[in-house]
Amino acid sequence: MAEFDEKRNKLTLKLVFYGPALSGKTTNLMALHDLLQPEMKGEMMVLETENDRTLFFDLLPLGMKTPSGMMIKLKLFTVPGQVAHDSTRKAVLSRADGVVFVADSQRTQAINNTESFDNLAGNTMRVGLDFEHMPLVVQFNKRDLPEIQAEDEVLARWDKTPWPVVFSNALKREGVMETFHELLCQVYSGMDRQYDLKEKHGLECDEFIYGITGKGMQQNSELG
Amino acid sequence: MSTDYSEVLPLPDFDRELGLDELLSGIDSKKLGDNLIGLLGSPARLVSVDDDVVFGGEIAAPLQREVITLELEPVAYLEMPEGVGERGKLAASLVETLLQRSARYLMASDIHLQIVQSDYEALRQKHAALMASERRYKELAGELEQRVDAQVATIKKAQHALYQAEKNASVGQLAAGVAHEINNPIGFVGSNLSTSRRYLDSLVAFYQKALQTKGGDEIASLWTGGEMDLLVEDFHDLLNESVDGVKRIATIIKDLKGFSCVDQAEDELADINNCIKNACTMIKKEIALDVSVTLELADLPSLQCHPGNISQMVFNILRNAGQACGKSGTIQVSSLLAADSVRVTITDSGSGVDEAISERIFEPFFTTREIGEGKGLGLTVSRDIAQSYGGDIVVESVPGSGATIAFWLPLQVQS
Repeated sequence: MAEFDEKRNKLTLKLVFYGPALSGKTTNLMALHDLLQPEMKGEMMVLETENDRTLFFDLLPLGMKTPSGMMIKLKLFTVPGQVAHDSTRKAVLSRADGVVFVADSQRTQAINNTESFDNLAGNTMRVGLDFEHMPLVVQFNKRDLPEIQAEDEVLARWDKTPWPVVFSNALKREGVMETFHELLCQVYSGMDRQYDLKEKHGLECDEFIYGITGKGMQQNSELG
Repeated sequence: MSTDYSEVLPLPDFDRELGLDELLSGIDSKKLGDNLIGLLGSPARLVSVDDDVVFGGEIAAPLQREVITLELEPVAYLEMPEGVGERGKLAASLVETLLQRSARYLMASDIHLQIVQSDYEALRQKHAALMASERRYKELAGELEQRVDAQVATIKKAQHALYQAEKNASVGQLAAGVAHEINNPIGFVGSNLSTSRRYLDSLVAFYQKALQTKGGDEIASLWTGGEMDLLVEDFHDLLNESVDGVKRIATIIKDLKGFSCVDQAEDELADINNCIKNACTMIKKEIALDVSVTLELADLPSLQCHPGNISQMVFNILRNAGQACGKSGTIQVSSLLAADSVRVTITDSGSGVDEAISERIFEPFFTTREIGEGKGLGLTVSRDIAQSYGGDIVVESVPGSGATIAFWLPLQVQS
């Protein structure tokens, strides 16, 4: 649920990277930290254990100003993927305005992907969000590895769902921006309906995406 | 279990905007200020975005003002006299790093609390579900016990009925056998006795005729000398008594057959009053002479039942009544027609039934008699019979002044 602070003329949105353990959620966030050149970019906060497993969450704050002068602040979070950390996932997921589901493309991880996606659907409802209408992009990561599910196979399976699928190699920074772009498009239309971004704040979807991604998106402009 | 687990404190969201107060919690701001002022070598002060001073005093204008940013937004300003320059920026960066670490700690601890509470709540719900399930199992176990008890009772009842049926059948078979075996000899014994009586009359007639002949006087003196008059008279008596005895045997056999109903295996339309009379005839042979049995019978419709069973029920109750009366007393049997049933009450003037045992007298093998005198089945069988027709049997007693046992049978008996 976006928070609008009238006093400070600020809209805060929360975007969450969800998915099974070790699927590359934190890598996605780090890639975005490197690639994005928004008007405002904060320090990335990483809370990890010794062996690089996310402990509670990672946080990357981004921001931009609308022509009307309103500040839009995006807080990008990751969740810990291990099954045991379900309460942490619920806490991070609560009041989310959009989700990237980072799946692991390796065949051996197919069951983990399914379980994690079910867990996402369940937790979304448990924290009081409408899963059917929540902005969501599915990313199949680690496309560089052998023994992965073929693109056709993945697309055939996800074809019947309303969610776009993006293939990525987050370590090489491939597909990360496209994923984020897809999510921002969906988030914009929801926020526009709720806060009249276009009419009241003079902010078009393209401007919104440019404001958040900056030059990073220009490098991938053929995908826009 | 006195702790109130339902109490859950509302916790702040871990990802809320953190205020400067919170960010500085646990930090000795005076010490921080002294250190910074020492490092800068000039006065300095930290003010919030709302112009609240955290440390430091008034500084004369013009000021150098460095912004301290957290999550894209300014949270505080470090102010110092103009001209401090680069060192001022570095000092602000130092404070910024400090506040970032503080934010990191606060967010981690807040989400930790949220997680703990959420896990605890989940555990509490699981516990409640487990308790509910345990309760359900306990109920089921209790139900199971009741069902087993009911089944055991049913089996006991069936066994009892079987036992009774077997007993009835064997008594019936025995009665039928005895009746058959005795009927034949008693028939010819009776017939022979009648013939013998006729023969005796012929002998007496022959003696009367002989007296009219020539040697009549001698015959008369021989007859008298042999006390033949007395002998003939006694002979008559003996034969008459024997004929009576044979008749009585025949009656007993007839009653026995009627009682055991060897000839009536199926339910039929039976007159309850007849059954009562039958049982009374039988019981008179068992009870003391000074115990009188009076009947007060209303007109009753016939019921579809096994008359032998009804007779046996009445007989069993009467036998108990007779035993309660001892050597003398009265037993009153009455029948009456109620709206939907026939009611029979048997009241005796005997010792009565103690309240303590009145609940138990229908239990199988419960008896107050000496071992060997009673099996403790009489009233049990009676209750079984009454209940088998959809009726029941009850006892009312005033200890010391007799007992009343009443049973009722519905007019539409259930077969």
